[in-house]
Amino acid sequence: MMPTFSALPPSVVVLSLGTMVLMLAITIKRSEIIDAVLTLLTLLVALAVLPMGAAPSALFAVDDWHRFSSALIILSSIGVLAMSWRDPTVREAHAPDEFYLLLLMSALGAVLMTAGRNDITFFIGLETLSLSLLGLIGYRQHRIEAGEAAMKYVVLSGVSSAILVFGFALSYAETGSLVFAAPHALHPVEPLLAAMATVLVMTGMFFKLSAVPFHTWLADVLEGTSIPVAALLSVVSKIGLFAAMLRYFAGFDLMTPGSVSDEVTAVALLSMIGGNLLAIGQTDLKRMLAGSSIAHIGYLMVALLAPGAFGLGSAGFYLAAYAAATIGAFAIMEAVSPNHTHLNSLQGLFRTRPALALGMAVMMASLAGIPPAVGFFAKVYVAVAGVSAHRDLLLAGLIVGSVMGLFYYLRVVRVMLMPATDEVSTGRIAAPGNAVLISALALVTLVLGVYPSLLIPRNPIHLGADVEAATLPVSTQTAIR
Amino acid sequence: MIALPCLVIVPLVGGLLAWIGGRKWPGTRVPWIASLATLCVMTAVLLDVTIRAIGRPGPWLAHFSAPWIPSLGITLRADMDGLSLVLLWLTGVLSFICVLLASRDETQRPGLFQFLLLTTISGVNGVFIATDLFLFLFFWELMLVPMYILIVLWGHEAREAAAIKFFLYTQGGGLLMMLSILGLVLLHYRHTGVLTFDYFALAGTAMSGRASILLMLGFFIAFAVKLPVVPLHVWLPDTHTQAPTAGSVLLAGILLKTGGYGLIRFVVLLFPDATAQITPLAMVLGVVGILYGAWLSLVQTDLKRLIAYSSVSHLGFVLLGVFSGSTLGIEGAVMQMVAHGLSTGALFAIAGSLQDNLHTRDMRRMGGLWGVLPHLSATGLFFAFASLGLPGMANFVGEFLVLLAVWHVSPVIAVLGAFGLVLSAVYSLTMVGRVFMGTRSSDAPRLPDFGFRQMTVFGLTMAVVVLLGLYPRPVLDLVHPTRPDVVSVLSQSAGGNGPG
Amino acid sequence: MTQFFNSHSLAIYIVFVTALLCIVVALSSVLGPRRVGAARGRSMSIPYESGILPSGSSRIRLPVQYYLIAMFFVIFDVEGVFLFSWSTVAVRAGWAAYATVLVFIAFLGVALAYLWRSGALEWGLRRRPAGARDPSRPLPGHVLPGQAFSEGARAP
Repeated sequence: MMPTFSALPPSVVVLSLGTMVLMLAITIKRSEIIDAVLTLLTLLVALAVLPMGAAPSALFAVDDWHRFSSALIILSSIGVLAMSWRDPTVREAHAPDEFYLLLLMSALGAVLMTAGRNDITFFIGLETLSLSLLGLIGYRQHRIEAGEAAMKYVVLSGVSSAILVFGFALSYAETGSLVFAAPHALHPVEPLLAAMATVLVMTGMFFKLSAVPFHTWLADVLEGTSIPVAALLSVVSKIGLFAAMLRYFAGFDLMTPGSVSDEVTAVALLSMIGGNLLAIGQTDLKRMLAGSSIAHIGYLMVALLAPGAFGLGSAGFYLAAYAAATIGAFAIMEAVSPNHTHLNSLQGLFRTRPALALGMAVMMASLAGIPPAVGFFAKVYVAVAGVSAHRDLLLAGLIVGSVMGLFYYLRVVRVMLMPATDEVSTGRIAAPGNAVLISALALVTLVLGVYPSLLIPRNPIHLGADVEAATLPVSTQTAIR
Repeated sequence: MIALPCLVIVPLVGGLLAWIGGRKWPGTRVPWIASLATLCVMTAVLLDVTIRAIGRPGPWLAHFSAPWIPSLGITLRADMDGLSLVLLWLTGVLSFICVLLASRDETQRPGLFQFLLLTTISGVNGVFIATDLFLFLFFWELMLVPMYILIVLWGHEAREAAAIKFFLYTQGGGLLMMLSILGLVLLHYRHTGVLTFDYFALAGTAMSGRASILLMLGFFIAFAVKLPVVPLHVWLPDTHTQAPTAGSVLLAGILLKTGGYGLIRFVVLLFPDATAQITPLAMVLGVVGILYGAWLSLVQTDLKRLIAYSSVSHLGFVLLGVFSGSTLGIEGAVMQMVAHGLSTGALFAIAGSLQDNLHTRDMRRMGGLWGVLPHLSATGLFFAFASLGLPGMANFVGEFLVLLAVWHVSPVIAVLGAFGLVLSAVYSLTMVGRVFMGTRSSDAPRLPDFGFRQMTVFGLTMAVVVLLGLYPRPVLDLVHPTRPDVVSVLSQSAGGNGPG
Repeated sequence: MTQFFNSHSLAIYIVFVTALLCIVVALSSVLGPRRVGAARGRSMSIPYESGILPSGSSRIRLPVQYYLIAMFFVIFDVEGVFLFSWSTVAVRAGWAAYATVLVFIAFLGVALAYLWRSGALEWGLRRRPAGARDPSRPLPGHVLPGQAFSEGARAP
């Protein structure tokens, strides 16, 4: 391990410095090339410094889980960056400089969340992410649907943050500490209060994760934003939140039946079924992917509810598979038609642009869990975790949801196979960055699907369940009080 | 032994080449030639495996193993016994029928067509040799996708609904099987502390009666969907009717056999006790399938639909044989699978050819074809007779052995099954009468009859059917199912040498 | 019993608050006078039942910069608070903390410079560059939301 620099996770330091440098660069001279290069450079350096350690601290956990999920977040952000380069919809109202700034800030927020070991650090990360996402959603301000999306997001994000903070407050009232963990793990005096706190915190997180029944905003928001932002919203923010959620429950015994475990189970089941039901009826690709993303959050919760050796490994693997396939699908939509995301826009793609169509088919197969795409192994891995924890109900939901999912994933493939309509031109040439992104993601999806052990660590990752070690020193605690 | 993975890789690579060839030289026969060459290479590999296997001691004839996902105990393990060998040969023969007869004249994106065909064959080969349960599942799911695209792109009028029905049924069954596999693996892990997906290791897992029934049912449903067993057969008539000719041949000839293979390998041999418990149910389902399929065949007017329902009926015998609990029954079931694959595959090829020429599958608009198409009609007559179980043909051997085995278990069931044979004679002869005999209703234009190429292929197929009917001993000897506790000598010796 | 009260204090508090609110609402609906139809009178539907009649429209348009400047003030003001808390322990915290504070101030400075440069601090209407704007083309510089919208609407 390399020498430690400070208590801050090194990637957070790099990302915040990069944000400032980018801001300075915009102040001095507005140039898109400089912005993009600076953003890419910052993200790459942040990725490179991930293996470095940090001074032990009560605020940040710089562990393997943080490293893994941050790497996913940073790589996804690079993907979004490649997608948005030369995207006309991003720059129709504004100069695109602030877009890069906000992109970097949302990556910073998400990375911060994955390391948060204290309620405050987690919350700062969450708000950094939410506020920059708000800016990104409303970026195309003269469009009425962008305004609608931004308004919905700001209201629901605000409400969920309030619920979350109220949960933290209750948790603090009960345990006297701001450690980011379910209060049950901290030996509370009053179980009722602790359960209430947990439920409120969870509700806040479910809102942001858009799990059913807190999901209604997602489809509208995705529809109203540009494609890169939709990708960011459905991948980066969800990885960050899910990673944090796993940390939150690290010291909590989800196996014993109880109110918390029941609630997560119910939400997971509802998400699997509800997300798929939502997606089946859609003819807009972004709305369809919104439903698919909700369903995948449900599948991921099977891993959350199966703590142990398989749970964490499968959650990590599933997140990676989901991120690759979802970003890939959005990137292909971007390459086909950035403005028109109706299902019809893909019609006849296999004839007009076969490479893109093949890529889309791979992504859909991965999301549907069909070999040889990586989604198949991811689903099996999650099911291993579920079976090992005897989550029979959830496994039944997983199967029903998967079969329902086939309907709309296969519909995309079928539409692409249909003969092309006359008015569909061959379309614009994919921007070079986007082309590289699509080919890279397709390759990753296939290679990992055939040889998944590349992404399975030899030694299973352990999530720091050392709640006691995470409690603040007494002096700091009093200072916070 | 690199030969076993070659059986999977050769069709895959050949398919890719055919696709690239089709894109590069559009309008030529390049993809078809590439496909044919691939099949020749595959057959050569198979021949090589067979020749090596002749002198082998022990039931397991070939073995391959390589690490894949070590942290979950998943290996690339493939073993071949006589059962696999017979079914691999069936696949080889039927692929030739597909490629030589059905896909040669495919003009619409021929490269893609050959690619999908060969990918399906690759997946089926993988299913027949995989002995790592994860690998098996991988191939099981893999063979669905190309078939789906084949039906969607080249199928007939209602193809989309048929394709999605096919996919949903089989995928749903596959997911249930996935749960069963994982349950078995984790049960084994809990007992021994070893996480493995290896078929041979898992065979010895100790489990309670209830657990074994539940796990077995997951496998059983997946294979029952594929075979198909009666309440789960709804996808089959539509899919067979709507699929392109090559797709129908492949589906009826090979894909359904993966269900029968799975029942023998993964239900009967892996869960002997649980199997014994559901035997009555399976027997009843089998006989219901026989009678129901035959009954529905009687009233069909669509030629392909009739053949599809007759498949349901014939494959009921497979279910009966597999669950009869005796070696005799399993021998009969395998024989029936081979014979059904050949005869029904050929019938679908003939029906496809008729549809291409007449542009209809409606038997009411056919009739009197014997005078116009003598070669085709004679071939059709032969395979219709084979299909109804005329003594001297392979189908008769299979059905007879199955009924004999079932007689020892339950005479009632055997009698009912035999009644199904009577019905099958009725519908087969009705079909022959309506399609080939009678008078030609109108003086339609001259139709192209089977030429040298078709007659050669069908002639060879007929020869195989008759040969197996007259001298079935070699196949019956080969297909003695090998119990998983008979650990392969090969795998022990090869374990030291490593892969290859 | 006291044990129960001690250990469930918050739950009891919640119950009491809920009950109190219910009582207040219920009492006002039971005891309050109810007028329907003509008896309701005109004064019931104006904001202040007993006060001065409002005059003029309540829709006053303020320049959007007003809000921006107000927000910037709040943001920078709150960030200044961190410096106060540092100042109480400045000597004890040492050079490392001093360096941290310098970085913090530098960040604030960069942010201020960025805002200034993008025109967020300018008051009043700004002249637009000549020529009609094509909305699909990127703007040459940053334009504040309110302006971009109102002037775009005015363009023929």
